Amino acid sequence: MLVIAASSLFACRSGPATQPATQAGRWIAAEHTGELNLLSVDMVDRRNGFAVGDIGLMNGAVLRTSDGGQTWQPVSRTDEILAAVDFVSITRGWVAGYAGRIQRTDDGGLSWKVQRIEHKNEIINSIFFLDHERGWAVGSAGLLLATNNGGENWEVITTGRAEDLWSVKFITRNRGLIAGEEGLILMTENGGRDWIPQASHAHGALYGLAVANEYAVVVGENGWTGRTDDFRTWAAVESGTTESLNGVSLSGEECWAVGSKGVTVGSMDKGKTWKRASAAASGDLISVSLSAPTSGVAVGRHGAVQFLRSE
Amino acid sequence: MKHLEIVGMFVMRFSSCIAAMLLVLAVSCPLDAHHMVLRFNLEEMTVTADRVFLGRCVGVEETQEIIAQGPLPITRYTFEVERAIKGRLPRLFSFSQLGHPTKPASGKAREITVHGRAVTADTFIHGMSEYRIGDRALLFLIPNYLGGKVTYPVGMDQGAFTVSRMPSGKELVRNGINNLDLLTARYNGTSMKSGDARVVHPDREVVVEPQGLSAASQAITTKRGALPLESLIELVERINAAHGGTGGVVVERQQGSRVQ
Repeated sequence: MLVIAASSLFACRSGPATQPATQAGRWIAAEHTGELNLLSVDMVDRRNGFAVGDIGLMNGAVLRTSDGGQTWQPVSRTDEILAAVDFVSITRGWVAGYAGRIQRTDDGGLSWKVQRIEHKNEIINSIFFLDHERGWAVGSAGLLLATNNGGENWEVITTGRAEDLWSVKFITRNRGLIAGEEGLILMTENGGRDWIPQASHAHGALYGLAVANEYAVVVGENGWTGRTDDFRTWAAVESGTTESLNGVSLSGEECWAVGSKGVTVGSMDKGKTWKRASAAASGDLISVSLSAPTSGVAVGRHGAVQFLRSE
Repeated sequence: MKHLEIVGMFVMRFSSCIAAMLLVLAVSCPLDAHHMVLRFNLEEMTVTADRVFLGRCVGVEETQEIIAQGPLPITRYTFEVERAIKGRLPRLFSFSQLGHPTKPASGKAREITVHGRAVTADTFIHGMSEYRIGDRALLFLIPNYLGGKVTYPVGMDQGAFTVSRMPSGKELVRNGINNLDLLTARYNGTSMKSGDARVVHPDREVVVEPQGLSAASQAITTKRGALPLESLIELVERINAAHGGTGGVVVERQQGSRVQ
């Protein structure tokens, strides 16, 4: 067994949340993946997922798990710092990063085709595909890219924003959200042509965004957490931590967010109340992905990986 | 490897400059999109640099310099120094970096130009920072080498931070790798070891020694991406002082400069 540590969900730290957890689970440290920072993870299903991140003196790697995040193997090498990964199936996915380059695989990460060449000073923080054809990517200084042919062509969409954009998600072909620096939340109702700022009531960076058909959650600096039911008005909710939250993911009514110093917080009621869990990782966690309720993976600095399992 | 092709090109023409290029190679070994470069945290970067300043680029001159036994393409940048944080710097400060800036080439797609010639992406040296007139940047420059004729930022583009202004008016800075690991990279031993650290401690729970720092500067330890300019400068000044530095000074003239 490659598990080296375990911790229980919703351990003792009491936060202001008033509703107890209704579902049990625990985060478990995965096999050590090395020293390289992992910046993004995407679980395709309960067993299969991909993680990307930093490069070292001997390049970096696209990592793959087929056992729900317990063990990871490099499936291909990369010479770019990759900050974003999104798969729509076990074979087709995209990666992007700090060179502004976008690559696609159709064989589960074994080989990659460059779809968008390197662009100096363009940093991509997040990439999201609604289906096999429609995708978006966001990054530094208001960068927004869109494709409607599986990434064969990428169009730059003018946002008029100077802030870094940290996360993009779409609920339908028309409705999408972006979270960014200085509390920025943008929403589109026409497939990304026009983006309208929404009042988030946050001042710091919003790093993570997760969406469902009937609600959405954002997280960011100083543990700031917000949610919406109508995709127009956002309310701040107490997250139970003041550490920065870097990523959030949801499945059904269950949400998990991760951040600095391994902080891990969860909600079982669509993000209305949160409680802190004992994390298995002590270092900074950057990204989290749920494939189903009580099934997910979080990754972070220096190769940190923890996975979620039911009790 | 692509960088070795570049080195080979130089070596054939300027055999005596092997040492020069190897010096660059010692800290960089570029590949396609990013480059294999030693990672520097802010404290090691500050200690390694002998000049740290905030300024605006006011001049870019592509030229050649006789280095060792032959001419090498260099770019001479002139900055109007707004604030010296480490070292003595003239108000108008010029320095030279090896190579010429890249530019989009007319004609074939994916073509770029290096050293004034159209080349393919395979022979492009990544990682050397470039500046355009009007760019505002915070630079950490290594001591001049090759007879004092050239320099470059610590860790290549890691030591070159461009400044941008947010709608709120806040000024942010980022380097070529989006400030990744700026406070969390472990000491690589180029100029110092972790045992000599005074302010930045990647292996401790409290990464930045908070003594003497404002709350805003302490807060950047968990900030991702672009960082507040003033907070970063405050941290650099704190690091410099912790290592016995006396702070930067802007002087009237640049000694030995040809561009003023």
